[in-house]
Amino acid sequence: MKKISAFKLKNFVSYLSCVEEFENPNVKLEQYMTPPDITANMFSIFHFEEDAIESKTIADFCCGTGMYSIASTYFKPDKVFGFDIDTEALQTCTENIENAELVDQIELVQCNICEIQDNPRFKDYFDTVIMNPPFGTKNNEGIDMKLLSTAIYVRIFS
Amino acid sequence: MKLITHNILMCNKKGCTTNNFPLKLVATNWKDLDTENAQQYNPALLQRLCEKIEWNALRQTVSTLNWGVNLPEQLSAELVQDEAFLQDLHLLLVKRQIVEGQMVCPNCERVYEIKNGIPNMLLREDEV
Repeated sequence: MKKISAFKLKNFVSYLSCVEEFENPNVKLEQYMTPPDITANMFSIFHFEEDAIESKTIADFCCGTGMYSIASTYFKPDKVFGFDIDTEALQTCTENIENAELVDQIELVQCNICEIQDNPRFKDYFDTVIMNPPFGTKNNEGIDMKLLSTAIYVRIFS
Repeated sequence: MKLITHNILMCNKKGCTTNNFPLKLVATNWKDLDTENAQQYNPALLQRLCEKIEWNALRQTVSTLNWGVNLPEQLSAELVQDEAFLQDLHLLLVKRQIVEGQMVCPNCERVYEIKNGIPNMLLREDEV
């Protein structure tokens, strides 16, 4: 477990308060943003208990407006890659990343994550995969399992 | 998009399975983040990123970009201790953001656009 002494959760929450919501959430893509306080709690666990962020290369599947990508940067990852299919979400995400001055650390790619397994370069590339994926409740049944299997494909298991 | 991202993207169009990496990169607009907006030069970080790089693809791409950066043919243990080399990598992997451009598949010539710093790898229905 990492040393937690100097860490203040409220500072982390305010770090995330600059992340703007979806302008017109697309219900079919199940676009909902995780609120800053919940995100901050989650990522504190990822960092302090799992050591899954610092000096790691991270993939954020279905990054949406970039809440998780931006949260990751709080704990000094090597690089964060955000993937999403939706042009409008990625546009908001770009603005959020620019406002937070994190262009150097976060890379965005527009793609269909279900197709990533066709690309051998992605195999065992990432140290950590984070995601708040669609759960398959909007005529897209089974997409959650596809995303999990893709996450297992791209993650290094040593 | 930085070159580290270009280094993991390949053409996934239906039937295009050989000679589809690296994509030929044309950068029409790029900018360097200034020191306020970019992580500081950090050798340990660059050494870790180096392990993930497909070296020939990066070297080949950089040689076509006319950016005044020349990467050596082989990546060696001595090289990743060399400061001038790591400074070049810092520029390529951390500071230089490609804003607009195109990536072309060397095999099937499918064009992938880079707009507003984001490469678009989405395929049309008839390409999947």
